[in-house]
Amino acid sequence: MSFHVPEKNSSLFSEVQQRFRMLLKKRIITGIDEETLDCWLANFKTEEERYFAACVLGRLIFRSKNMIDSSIDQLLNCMLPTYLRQKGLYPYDDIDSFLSSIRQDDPSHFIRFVGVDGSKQNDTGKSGVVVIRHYKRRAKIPKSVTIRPDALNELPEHVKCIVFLDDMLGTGKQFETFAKTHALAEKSGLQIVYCPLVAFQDGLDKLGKSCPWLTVLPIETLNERHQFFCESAQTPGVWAVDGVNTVLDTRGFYDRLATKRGIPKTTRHGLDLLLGFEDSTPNNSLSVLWASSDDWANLLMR
Amino acid sequence: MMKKPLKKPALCSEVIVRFIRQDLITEQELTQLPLMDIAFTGADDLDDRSAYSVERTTRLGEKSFRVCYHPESFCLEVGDKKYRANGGELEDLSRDFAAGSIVIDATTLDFSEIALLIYAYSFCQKSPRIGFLYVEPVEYVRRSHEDSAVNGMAFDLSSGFVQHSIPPFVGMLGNKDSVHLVAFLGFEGGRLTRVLNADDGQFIRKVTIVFGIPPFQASWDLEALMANSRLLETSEVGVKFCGANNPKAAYELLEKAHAALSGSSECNRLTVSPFGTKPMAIGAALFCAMQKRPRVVFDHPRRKKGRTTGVHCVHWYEVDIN
Amino acid sequence: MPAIADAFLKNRADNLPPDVSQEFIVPPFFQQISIFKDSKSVRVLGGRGCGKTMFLRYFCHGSTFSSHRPQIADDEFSHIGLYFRPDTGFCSLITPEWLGNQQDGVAFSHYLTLCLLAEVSQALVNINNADNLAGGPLSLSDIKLGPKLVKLLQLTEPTVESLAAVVDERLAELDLWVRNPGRCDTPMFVHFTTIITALADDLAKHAPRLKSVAFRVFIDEFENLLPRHREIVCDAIKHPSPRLAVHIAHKREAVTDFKTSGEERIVEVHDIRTIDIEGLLVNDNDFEVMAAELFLFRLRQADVTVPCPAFKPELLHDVAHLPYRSTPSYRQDVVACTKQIFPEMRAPEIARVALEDPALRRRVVEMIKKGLEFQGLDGVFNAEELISESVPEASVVLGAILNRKSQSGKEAVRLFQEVVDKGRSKNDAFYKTGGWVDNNLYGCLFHLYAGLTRRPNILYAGFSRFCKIAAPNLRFFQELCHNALLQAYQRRSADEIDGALCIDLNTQAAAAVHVSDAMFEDVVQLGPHGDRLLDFARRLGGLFEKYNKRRSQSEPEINHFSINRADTAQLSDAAQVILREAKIWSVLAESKGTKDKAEYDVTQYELVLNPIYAPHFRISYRKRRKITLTASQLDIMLTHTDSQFDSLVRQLVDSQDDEETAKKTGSLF
Repeated sequence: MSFHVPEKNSSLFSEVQQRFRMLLKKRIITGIDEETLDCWLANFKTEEERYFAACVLGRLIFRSKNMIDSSIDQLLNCMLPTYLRQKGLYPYDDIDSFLSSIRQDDPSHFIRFVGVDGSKQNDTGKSGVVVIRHYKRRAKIPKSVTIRPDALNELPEHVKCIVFLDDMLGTGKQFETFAKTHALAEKSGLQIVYCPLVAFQDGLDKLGKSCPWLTVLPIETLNERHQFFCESAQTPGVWAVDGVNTVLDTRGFYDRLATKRGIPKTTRHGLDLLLGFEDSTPNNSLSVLWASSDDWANLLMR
Repeated sequence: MMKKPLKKPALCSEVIVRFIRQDLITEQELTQLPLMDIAFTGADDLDDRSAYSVERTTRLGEKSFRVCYHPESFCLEVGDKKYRANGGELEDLSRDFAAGSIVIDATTLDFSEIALLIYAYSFCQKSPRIGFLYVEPVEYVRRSHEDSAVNGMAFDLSSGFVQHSIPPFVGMLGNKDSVHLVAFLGFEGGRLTRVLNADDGQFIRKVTIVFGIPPFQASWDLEALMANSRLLETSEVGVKFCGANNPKAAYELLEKAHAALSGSSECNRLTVSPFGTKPMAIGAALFCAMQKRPRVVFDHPRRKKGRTTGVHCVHWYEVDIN
Repeated sequence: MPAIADAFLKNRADNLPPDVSQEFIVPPFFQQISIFKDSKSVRVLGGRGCGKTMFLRYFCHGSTFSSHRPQIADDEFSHIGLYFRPDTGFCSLITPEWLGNQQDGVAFSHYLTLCLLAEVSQALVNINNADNLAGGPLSLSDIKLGPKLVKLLQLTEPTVESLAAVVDERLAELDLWVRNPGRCDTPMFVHFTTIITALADDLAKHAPRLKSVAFRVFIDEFENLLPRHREIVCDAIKHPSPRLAVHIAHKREAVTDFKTSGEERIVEVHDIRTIDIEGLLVNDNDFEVMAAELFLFRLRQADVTVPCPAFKPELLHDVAHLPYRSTPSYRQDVVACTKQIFPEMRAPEIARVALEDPALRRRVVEMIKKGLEFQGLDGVFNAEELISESVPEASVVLGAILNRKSQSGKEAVRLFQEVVDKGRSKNDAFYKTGGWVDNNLYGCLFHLYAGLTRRPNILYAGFSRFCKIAAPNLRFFQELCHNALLQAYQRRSADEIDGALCIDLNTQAAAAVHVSDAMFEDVVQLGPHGDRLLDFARRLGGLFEKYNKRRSQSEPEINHFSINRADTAQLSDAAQVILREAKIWSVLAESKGTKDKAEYDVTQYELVLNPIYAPHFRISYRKRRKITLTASQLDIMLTHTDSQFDSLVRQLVDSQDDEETAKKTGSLF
């Protein structure tokens, strides 16, 4: 049987979209307005398409500005102090002292924060810049302890630790390239830590192998269970999301829909995640969320 | 009994809780922690992580004692001693169990026990340093009933809820008082609505619910949202976020809410419902025990055995309440 | 401009201000009963959502001396209402276990006194500042309080300002004393009857207009007081004081023992009268009228022009206008107007629609086909041909008839074909009064829709049906309105809607199911045993659902059960607790018996599952048929395991459904 709507889920579409709409109204999810939601929902016309949309929406992991603020707090209040203490770089009595020291606006501090960008110079608006702006605002991190990637070759002596900030670590390829571009492996004597808001487990493993000098501290981690077309643990081949359709059928259904409407199909190495941030959407998220064409309205922005 | 003068509750500006550490800690690092004077633990036979946590916590203290609070008799048992939950007797507790540093097993002790211990030690001239051990489980047990079509009933974690006040945290409310309720939420849907139903518009004028994001494990926050979708649908609530693992964030959130009271025309009292994760409850316990004014609504869930499985990771939190 | 749907959102007694005079809709029953006319104590009974708290607030000083009232007569001074609702968190500490002594009774009385004094202070301020008193302004600022009050309360000055200040001090003192037992000086306890009476006496001396001043105290949520605290209140009811009347309010069944501190008890009629708000609300179609008025009132609050000239919102809040609102023409008008906004389709029409809708028609055909097979006539007749658009009602019920053991298939088909050929008459088996259509049409329609989960069941649509589902709970009614309006108009406000306000049947039906689902989910929060209550409600509803699914519909529309009174005593303790909780929280309602019964059996009583849950289980909300349960059966349902319950269901449902047994023996005729 090809991709179909299981009987038990016949009312899923109306439930999920009502719930999502409510999250928008209550401003638990900010950054998507109701009209955008409606236009996106209008993309899905048949029963099966609507059911598919409901599955996507119901499993969307969305991080609005307020939620990102909370993630930033997590890094600065829990994870980074722990890391620095392990590396013997933590001469502070308590967490607030650590935070105040960073906020001092004193370039003699031993930490530097850097946003990870795609490539060198003209990368305004890329995710790394956006993220670091967010950190600056939330945690009041001053200019003196943030630098742009190109300044990485001209670090003062007393800088002992670089914290790379990013929104998402997917396959790991992007950071690998970035590391090569800025010759990070050669910077001995420096503690280098990479802190994406969200990381995918495979990417973590990959970086672990290719960059052994690097510590990665993701604030949240996703694994294969978060990939949209993942298989059920009990029954191989069956789609984990509803336990009824097969993975092949589901993927095939989506690819046909994508082709028909001029948006990217799934790719072999794509991560097919359902992740969005208020200001950006990682490209390893399923295209159904962010793609736009003449025949397709997007829900999230890239 | 000799009547001792009561200690005046400290003003907000005088109270300082310093958060020293909030770490994810490995087995090895655990063994390297300096010993504390006294370790306080709960029951070790609920599930995998309680056994583990009690064992590790006990090892961290020179002496260790079992703690249990009985909500219906307002009595806190520590070791073989009993204390009623009022300022005087709890002050005695801090003398009977005098210590320069203590460690609290936050896995097996619940909010009321943690808060009362902190409250007791807040009376000391020099309060001890306090460490908290918290063990995350691998999984929470799903309800096996075929009909979990009712949202929020999907997790079958507790057997029976009871609303007993915890005496230090139930200052009288009068008809001129209006309450801002800050509720930390978790999986168990209905806990907050029960509180709102019971109040039914009597004192609570404003409600803020706090979700744990970033969550323990990614995508569990969807579960919490679904468990509480009915509440979000029907009430005028504000929503805030706080790390599921970040007591300092929970504490600061409450600090801010408390500070807002004096400027607010709507509410003059704060009530806290620590229904979320245990680290959030730690933050809330610190705030309420040190502030002494906020009210607490807590339903003392009777934990079921086997409600979680496995040991995922361990957290170590350290604070100074002087 | 507010969204229309939102006007129905403020559903709880949330933030009810002291002055409800502009919100409270005076119910019709105010004319029939004398409400608080004398000083005898009154017990106000009502479940959640029936308006009990607002009702009490209406009689309290905040509303009585409202600045919105055009004129306040002087006789209001003879019954100044004081509202009291316990701070249960704090009161739970006033027990011997915590205090370590037996002072809980006097301590509670002291607490009650201080709370009431705070109310009185506020009331005096209101009266002092009122500029709409019929007898002109009345200054109370220079009252001199008598020596008794001064001594008992240790007032610094014999003034009302001093009184208010002292009350705050004493409350703080009591707070400290209660939370630190044995460590503070014991306060000088006072008793409310003494204090309030003394205060009233002092007021009476102050001004001639206050000669007959008296207070009436309303104690809301009486069931939430600890037993000893209730005794203190009952003492005051049993032994009334001059100038002070004590009234209580609680949910039905929530309080059964009205013991005083001594050996006496409060006795109905002699000591106390009961006003059953829910019972009074459903009298004589009053609920529909009130619901209509409430609906139109809310529309007006959302700035919607209400197409009903007879309706005047300003007349809703004063009993003086009740005669106008009781006229038949007014009542008809408001109901008719609301019915236009929530139209309804009658059952015969729905039968016609069923035949036109492919999915429903298929169900009808299936039912007839199975019936023919059951009767051994599937070779003889074709199910498709036994449907006729000219007699849709007969077509719909034919299937049920054919599925009955007791019915001859050939005969039924013959009668059906006769009706098709000759048309309906007053005497044919289908259309005569009390005939097959009368008895089975609704049941069959519910049965048909129950099998189609996606199709909204328009049997739930319509204003009077909304009322039947919600009554006597105005909160439920407002939830239905809110949801229906939300689905129909999203967040639009009045000026964004073109054309007349009207909500189509499918939307109404969807709203009914959505609200029913939500209310069912909410059962888990009702009281300390919410989860057991939910299990019970699920089982009971599920049982009725199974009955509804029977093709034979031999007893259609079963949605309540009866049990012998003697039997209920035999239920286990746990079962009795859950049964009682079910009544307290209105999951079950005790009913006075179906009217069409020949004998009314006093040893039996009937329990109805709240009709608000009917859409969730896809069953009927009309009170038609019941089953009788024995104590042991009810016990299984209340306390035993799922598998035991399942076998009980099989035993109950299948034993009466003849199809299985008959199938084995083949054709019977």
